[in-house]
Amino acid sequence: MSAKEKKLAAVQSEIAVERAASLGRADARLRKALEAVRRFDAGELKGKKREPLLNEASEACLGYVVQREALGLPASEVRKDYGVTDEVWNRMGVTQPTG
Amino acid sequence: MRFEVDLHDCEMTGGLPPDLDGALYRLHLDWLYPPLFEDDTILAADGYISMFRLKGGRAHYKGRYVQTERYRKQIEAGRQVYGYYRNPYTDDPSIRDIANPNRRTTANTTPVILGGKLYATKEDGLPYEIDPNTLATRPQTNFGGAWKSQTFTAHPKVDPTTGETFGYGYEATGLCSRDVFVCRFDRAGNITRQWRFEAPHTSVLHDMWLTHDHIVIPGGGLVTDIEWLEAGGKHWGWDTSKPSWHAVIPREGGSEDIRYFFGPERSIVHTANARTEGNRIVLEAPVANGNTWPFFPDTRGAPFKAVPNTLRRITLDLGSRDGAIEEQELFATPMSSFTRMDERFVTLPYRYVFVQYADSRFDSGDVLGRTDGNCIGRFDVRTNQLKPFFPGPGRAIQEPVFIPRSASSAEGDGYLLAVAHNVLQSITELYVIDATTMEELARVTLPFRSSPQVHGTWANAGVLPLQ
Repeated sequence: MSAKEKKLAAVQSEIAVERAASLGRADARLRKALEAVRRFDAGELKGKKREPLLNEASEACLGYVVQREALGLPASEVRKDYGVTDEVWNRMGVTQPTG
Repeated sequence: MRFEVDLHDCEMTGGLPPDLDGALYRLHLDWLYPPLFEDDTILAADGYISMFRLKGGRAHYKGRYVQTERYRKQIEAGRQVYGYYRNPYTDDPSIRDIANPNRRTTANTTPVILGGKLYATKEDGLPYEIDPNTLATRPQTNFGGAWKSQTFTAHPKVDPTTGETFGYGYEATGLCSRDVFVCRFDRAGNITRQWRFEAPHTSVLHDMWLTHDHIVIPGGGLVTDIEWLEAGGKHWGWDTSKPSWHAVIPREGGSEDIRYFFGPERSIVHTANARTEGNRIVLEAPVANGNTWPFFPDTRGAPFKAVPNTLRRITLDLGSRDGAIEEQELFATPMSSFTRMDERFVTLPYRYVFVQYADSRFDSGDVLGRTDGNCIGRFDVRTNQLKPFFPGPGRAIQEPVFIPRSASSAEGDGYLLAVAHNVLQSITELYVIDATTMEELARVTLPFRSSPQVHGTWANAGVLPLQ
């Protein structure tokens, strides 16, 4: 392997690591957000509002789906694998007012 | 916006590709006067056509109202005299014409090039011809008298392998009619063939697919009723009990050869590409499982609940007796329905769909909605990979247009032109993007915020007689 190829391989390796880490972060965010909705529905999160939790879950889901598809990984099983409800799934990509 | 503009030599960063010589035409929604009804849809706004003329590394901009009959009647009256979208019963009596609802068209949807002419089109009326240099409005056309429908689609399709154009009109014989007229044009813009059929139910037929062998027109859950119109209501409502359907018209067959395929409740607004493979027709498009139009109410009064579009593949089995439909989701990422492709590959196997979508990995700032369309995506239907272009915070980006680098370049090798509202500075920006790397090459700035675009069309110099 030439010096140029070695450098390229090092960069590609770093990109692969970063991509995997990004997917990992998106996965953690999605799990946390879905868990928050579940806990709210179980009456465990007093003082919180459901709407922002749903918005966070759907945005986390969107981020995870987009990251998978950017990597060329199918996202058709995400709903089933993570137990994403229709309520969360159908909010993905739907405009919500800010502020 | 309500003003017309000529802007010579626009401000620019980066450099325009020297081989870009042509014009980007866009149609906008621009109320001349506010609507009579507060809950009317912006789809009823007046048509406004603009042009970015790109030549010799410079960009020039021009914008004009499409001077429709409706525009002229409003100017004469000095006020809004037209009522609800596609309901002439709600018009001021001074201009009301129930028998000819197509006279109300605002020509606000797609700039269409057909037979070397430029038209402003909207599906509720006939096209207005537009001067490609001055943007002056010329008369409406019925294509030399050959076109008998009251309406003509904003989404005709060109077969790049033959140069023929296919179009249609629905509600072809008047308000709420089920009649659909379909036609084929030769390269010169002459109608050479026509078909007619009755839709299973009157529905919005906004776009079509074209394959080497078939024309396919999808319909769905939006329905209408003349009694709603007579009572002063809206033209469309969403009926959850109505199936989606696909009218399949063999290009070499007659009207009697048309077949219908019925599926579950679906919304299909714009299409991507299609092909006929033996006994199967493969159709691709953004598809949603319910109503995607917040301003068209549920017929049973249910509150609007948004459902996302995702890019799907629908397969029709021509060999099945029961009209079987299969559906497969290609990408789970929600997207808008504003889908474009390398149009040299219409009817052919292809890879890339370019579409506006929301990517929550990019921070759009707090000036946009949480997931307003902040990116253009290149969706590769062969490798299932998405490649984004993010214009920066505070930019709401609109439907792109693809331009091949040359007539012989590979699919997707070329440029994307996309216009964004820069909400932070209240200006308009045209992005010239390398469609392979999805990186910005140049940015042209207009010092004002233009009215919302519906669709755009690129014309190379030579396709139209550009100065």
